[in-house]
Order: sequence, then structure tokens, then C-alpha cells
Amino acid sequence: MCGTCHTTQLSQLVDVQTIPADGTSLTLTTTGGSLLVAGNKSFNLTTQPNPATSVQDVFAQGQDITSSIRGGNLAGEIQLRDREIPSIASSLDTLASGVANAVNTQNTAGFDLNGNQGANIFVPPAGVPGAALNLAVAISDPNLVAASADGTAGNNANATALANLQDQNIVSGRSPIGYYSGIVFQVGNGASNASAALSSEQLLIQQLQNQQNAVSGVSLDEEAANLVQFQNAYSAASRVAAIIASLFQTTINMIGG
Amino acid sequence: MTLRVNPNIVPDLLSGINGLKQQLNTADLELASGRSINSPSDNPSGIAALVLNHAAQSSTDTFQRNIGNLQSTLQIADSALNSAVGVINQAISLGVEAGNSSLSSGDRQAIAQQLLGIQQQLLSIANTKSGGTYLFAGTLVETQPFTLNAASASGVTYNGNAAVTQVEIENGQSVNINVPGDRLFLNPAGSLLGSIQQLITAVQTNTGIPAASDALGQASSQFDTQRSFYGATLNQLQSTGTFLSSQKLQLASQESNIDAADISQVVTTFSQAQIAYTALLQAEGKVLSLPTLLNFLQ
Repeated sequence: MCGTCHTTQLSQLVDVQTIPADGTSLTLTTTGGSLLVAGNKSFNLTTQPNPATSVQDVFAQGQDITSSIRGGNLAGEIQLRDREIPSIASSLDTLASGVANAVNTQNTAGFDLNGNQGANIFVPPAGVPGAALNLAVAISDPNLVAASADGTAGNNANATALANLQDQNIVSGRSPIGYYSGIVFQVGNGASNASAALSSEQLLIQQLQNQQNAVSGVSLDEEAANLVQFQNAYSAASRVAAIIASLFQTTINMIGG
Repeated sequence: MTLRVNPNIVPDLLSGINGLKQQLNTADLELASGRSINSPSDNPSGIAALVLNHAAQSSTDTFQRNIGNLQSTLQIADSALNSAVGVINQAISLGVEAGNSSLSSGDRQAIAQQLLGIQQQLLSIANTKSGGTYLFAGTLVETQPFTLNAASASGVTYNGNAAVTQVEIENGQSVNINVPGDRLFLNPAGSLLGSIQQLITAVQTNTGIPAASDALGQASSQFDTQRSFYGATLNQLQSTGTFLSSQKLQLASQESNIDAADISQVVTTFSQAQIAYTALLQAEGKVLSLPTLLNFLQ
């Protein structure tokens, strides 16, 4: 096995820095300084649920290092989980609570088919966070939609007002559809930037690997040439030894004669 | 010393193959769907425009549905009111007939009976229902608008209201969709049901028949004026419907400008990638099976 393969594999998972310990061993840490390998000992990373956010945090020897992990798959997953997705989820929450509150307010202003003051159509969101997850329709009887503005069954002014909410700036100062198209843009743009970054990083990795292999890769031609060279040297040395042996033999024979 | 060449060419070869495969896949997807945007990341600003375009298309669809529903309701109202015209004309000629002094009292009673029948017919027209709601009750659409009431001068009581409903048929444009029943049948400028009741009483008592006939004639022309609203509104719906259809076409063409795949270009890309892919595989097959120096050492 190659000596750097494991470091390479590890550095795909987290950001690793190597510190030569003495001539023969390396100490591996994260760039944040948490010890991963020292001499012949390794230190596991562990996870524990965070009581505040109820997601798993990463620990190194009892220390929460979630926010200090800067590279590798792990950092990518953490960034996706803690920043990208929450940002989109919070936009969806804003959209859901804006629409639910505006529809509820408008429906409460009208009268339903039974002639009663309208009530909430959506279960009122407790707050912006979680509004999209918990969005639910509060009524099951269509007669409770307050279409009428004056209580008569044929009046539709409040229904028209409900429909017109679509063009009003009820979500963070924008219309619901305008706000939603912004979310779609945000997601699409994020994905497109990520894949552009991915292909450029892949090119970079390929270049570096090429350079690495140009120095340390095994070339069959090179090894075969060396083999022939060493074989020839070996034969030559053997010839020298054989000649010396025969010289000795001649000398000994002379003494014997 | 020459530069040492990377002896391990496999990663380079694979990445070349992958790159071409990806091009083939993208082109294939565009050809299969006919769209250049198959996920938001393909064109983020395009997809945002598409979301708005689809919203505009679906609100146009809703306006078109509104118009369709209104057209059928208004047609029912219009034809009900049209059928009233024949009945009114019949009443007018009965009034003229009753004015003939040579008639016996029995003849007049018979005419009065016919007029009572006409009153009933007009009443049932005034109480026309469509889709479970009364058409001529203002906005009190669940209440039968007209009931007989002998104590009233017009012979009926109006239980509806004078409200007019408006429906949006295009962005920012609404139309009135009803004439309240009292304005149609009990108009102060010529009350249709009132003048029928007046004529019935006149014929029954044989007093003031010409005056009652005149009043009916006037009420009839007032009724025509009021009911013309329905024809005019139907025309307006028709022309707005035509406008919406053309608007929808425009939105659809805008949509395809944003995301339709340029087929000829995609086909070219596809076949270029295909040729490159085949050539690459052939070349790489050869490169990978090239002998090394070892093959020649015996």
C-alpha cells in the first residue's frame, strides 16, 4: 500500500494537516488542531445530538468541533445541513406564514355561506419558524369560506379580495408568487454554482493527481529498463568474480606444481 | 533529463469518458422532454421567469373558466327573460281584447282568468333558478325573490335585494353579472308585475282597462330596456374571452421562448458528443493495450 493513500482518503472526509513527528511517523490533525492520529494511536471523531437544534454535532475528544471543520465531505454535509437547507426552509416558512396570515385576515373580514363572520381558513402559524411544516387547513366545510362581504349568499366581494391577495405584497414585501420564484431562483442558483465549482475543483484535483503521479507513479517501462540494467550489472559483477576465482585457481595450481 | 510523464493514465481516460457521457445525457434529456430547463439549476433566472409565467397562465385559465361559467348562467337568464316577452305580448293583446265594449261580463272573466295564468308564468320566470340559486334575487340568491301577495298593489312581494354582483373577468376588469329582480319586474319607471295586476283588476271590474293597457305597454318597454343588460354583458364576455385566448397564446409562446429546447442545436450537440465518445473509446482501448518494454524482454 502507498504511504499517502490513507491520508488522501482521510482528507476526502475532513480537512487534514500533517505534521512530521520524527523521521518515520506523521501526526495528523484537523486544520482546527484537533488530533486525529499521533504515532500509532488514532482518535475517533464522535457525534452527539445538540439539545438546542436536535441535530448531531461532531466531537473530538469531548470538544465540539462542528463549526471548525473546514473541508472534506463532512464540512460539505454540515454546511448543507446547517446553512443552505435552513436558509431555504426559512424562506418557505416566511412564504407559508405570510400567505396563511393574509388569507386568515381576509377571510375573517367576510361572511360565510351561513351568514356568520368568517374564521381562519388556515391553522394560524405560531410564528414564522416551522410555519411551512405545520401549515394546515383549519376548516373542512367549504361553506365556511367567507366569500361574502355583506353576509348575503350571492355576494362575492370577499372572495374577490381573497383572490386578489395573490397580487399583494403579503410576503416580506413581495407578492407570494414573486417571493416563491425568488426561492426557486435561490435553489437553482445554489445548485448551479455548486456544480460549476465541482467541475473546476475536479479539474484541479486531476491536475494535482497527475503531477503527483508524474513524480511517484510506477512506470512499467522505467522498471523494465532498470531491471535490464541491474541484470546486466549483476552479470558483469558475476563475470568479475568468476575471473578472480579463475585467477586464484591458476595461482594455487602454480604452487601445487 | 526529460519531463517524467504520468504513467497512470486511467483517471484521465475515465474523466474524459465521464465528461462525454454527461454531455450525451444532457442532450438526451433535452430531446426527451423538449425543454432546455429540466431542473432549476439548468437556468436559475429562466426558471424564476417560468414560475411567474405559469402563475399568469393559471390566472388566465381561471378568468376563462369564470367567463365560461358566467356565459352559461347569463344565457339561462337571458333566455328566461326572452320567453317573458312572448307572454307579455299575449297579455297586451288580451288587454286590447278586454277593452272591446261589446264583450260580455263572462267573456271578461275568462280574459281575467287567462291574465291570472300569465301572471303565474311571469312569476315563475322571475323566480328562475340556475345551479341551485335564484337569478333575479340580487345577492339573496338562496331566497325565492317573488311571492304572491294579494294585499300588495303589484300582487307580489319582492324578497330579494337591490345588490349587484361583480365578477373579475380579466386583470383589474370586473363586470356586473345580474340585474336585481325588482329593477326588472317592479321598476318604478314601469312595473311589469304591477301593471299585470292592475290590468287583471281592471278587467275583473271593467274599469280603467285602457289606462291599465297603456301602463302594461310602458312597463313592457321598460322591461326590454332592463333585460338588454344580459345581451350586452354576454357580448362583452365573448370579446374578453377572445382577448384572453390570445393572451394565453402569447404566454405559451413566452414560455417556450424561455425553456423550449433548440432541437436542431441539441441534435447537433448530441451527434457530436456521440462521435467523440466512440472515437475516445476506440483510442483509449488502443492506448490501454499498448505493450510495455517488458513485453520485449525475453
